[in-house]
Amino acid sequence: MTRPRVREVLDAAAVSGAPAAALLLTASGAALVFAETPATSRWLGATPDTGLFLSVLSFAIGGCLFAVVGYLAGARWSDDRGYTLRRSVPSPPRVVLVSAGGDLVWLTGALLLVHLVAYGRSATLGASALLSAWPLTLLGLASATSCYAVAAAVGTVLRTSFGVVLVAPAPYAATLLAGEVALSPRPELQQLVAPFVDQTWFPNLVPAPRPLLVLTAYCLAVTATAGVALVLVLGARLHVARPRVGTVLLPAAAVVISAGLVASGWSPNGFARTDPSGSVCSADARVCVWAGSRATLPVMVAAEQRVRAAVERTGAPADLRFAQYGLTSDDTTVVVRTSPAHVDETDLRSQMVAAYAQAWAAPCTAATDDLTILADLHDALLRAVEEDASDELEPILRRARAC
Amino acid sequence: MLGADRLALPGGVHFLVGRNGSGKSSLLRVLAGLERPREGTVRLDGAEVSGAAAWRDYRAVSGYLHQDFAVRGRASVRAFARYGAWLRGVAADELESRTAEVLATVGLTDRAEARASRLSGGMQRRLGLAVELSNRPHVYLLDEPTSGLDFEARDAVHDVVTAALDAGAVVVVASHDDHELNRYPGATYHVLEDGRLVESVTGDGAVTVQQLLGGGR
Repeated sequence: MTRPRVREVLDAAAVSGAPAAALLLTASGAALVFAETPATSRWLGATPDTGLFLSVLSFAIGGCLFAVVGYLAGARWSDDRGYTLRRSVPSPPRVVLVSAGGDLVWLTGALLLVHLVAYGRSATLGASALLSAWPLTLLGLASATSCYAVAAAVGTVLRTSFGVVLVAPAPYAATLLAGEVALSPRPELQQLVAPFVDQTWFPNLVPAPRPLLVLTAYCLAVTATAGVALVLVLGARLHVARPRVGTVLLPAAAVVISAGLVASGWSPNGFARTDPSGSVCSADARVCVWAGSRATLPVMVAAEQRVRAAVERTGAPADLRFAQYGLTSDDTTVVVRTSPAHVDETDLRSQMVAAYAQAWAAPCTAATDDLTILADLHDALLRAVEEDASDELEPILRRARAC
Repeated sequence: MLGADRLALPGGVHFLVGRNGSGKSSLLRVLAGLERPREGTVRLDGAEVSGAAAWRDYRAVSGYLHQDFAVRGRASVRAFARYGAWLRGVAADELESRTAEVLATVGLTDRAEARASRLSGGMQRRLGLAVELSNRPHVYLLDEPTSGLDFEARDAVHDVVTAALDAGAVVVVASHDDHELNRYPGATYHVLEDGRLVESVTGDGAVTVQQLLGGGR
């Protein structure tokens, strides 16, 4: 028996149509990456968020294309009309490996290219330590590969090209379903899928390799199990040697074990850990950001100084501090949201103004449910900040103090 | 299929003749190893083909062209034939030369870089034949190989079969084409009806499907 060489692997992929799917994957992935604008993107400019976005994209979008190619491969292996796997001289597992290998060379190559483009763009907008996202990249590749394998097994059973319409949207639909679960009011369900669906990891979080690797192992075990299953299906139809019992049981056991580990180890934000690089603060400690977001600090400081000046003109104490999520340590520290790739001072001022307005209006809103004073305070303080005029603000502030 | 286990196929051309649904394609599929016979056995040179290893060896010396052979995907003719040759067990270091050889045999050398799925039906059939030729089989199983082909393509099939016969191969052809039935002097005609082998006759002149199915010549 001859050993397959690169030539055969690439020929197999050419026959399957994988290059076309890879081209489509690259084009659609690149389009999604370049459709993001730095001002509104929740992931551009931050490595963990980019990694999370890519892991979701790998499964939701890449998984669909992997599934299409996998399904058609499975159907083709069962097809008698072309030169069929079932009449091949190399053993079915060998042919499946060569053929699937060829497909996956193209598809994973395309997916990695999309990763490269996304990380490249994210890096130009401030993302650093790109290599720290490697567990998310592995997970993305493994989950997409599992889509290929499961779809191939389904294709082997259904044997008709039309069935591709069933498997093609499945990964995307599963992602949407997971999103629905994540938004459900039951916290335990949210915990189950939220890290994968919510594309906004907080700036204090970075990927935690261990649980991500367990999940990657789970995906790989599913892939192996589906591969063995399809070879068994093909073998049951014809005169081919049956796989050894160990070959069948090993991946199935791996699925069970890794699924158990995933289930038992799940926790809120279980796939992330606090950024070990710590935080940086302004000299007066009124503004703090995570070290990975230190580029945003000067803008935040400028915003805070301008808001503070307006507050102090009214004679009220400017006693609020501002920090990114995860750095709040007391009741006077307020969380501010920042886009990783684009920090807008006006937006930051607006958030800080809202924080002061809420603090000042709290006695009124708690007593009367009347929110008009909150809106009035917010508008007046904002004008005071933007126009350096606090005449309008002072009477409303007196109203608030009277509550 | 009942009674087919009595079918002996020595070297030469064997036509399987019968009405639609008579079992021609099913018999070829059994001979190709694509279906298990409900009863009876398949023997090659007197030895029963049984077990995975024996069927693998049998596949290595047999070629089967499906009546609806179709090419999918975006592979070139050369890539398709080369991968098909690998599937037929051709050694890696012989793949290039064997691919060129079989493409030349079926007259596709000048289309080697074309996309296989864009070939005409006749050309695709030639390509399928090229793949089946790649392991230089001893047994050719051809299901309606000239159906829908133009004369040039039919001649290409004829040349391949003639060359195979010269090399001492067994060629089994399912056909209901009177012209094809008479292209090979000394061919044997096996008449199938409702899944049964009802008659085997050796031709010595002009035969027609109607004569064979009518039971007389």
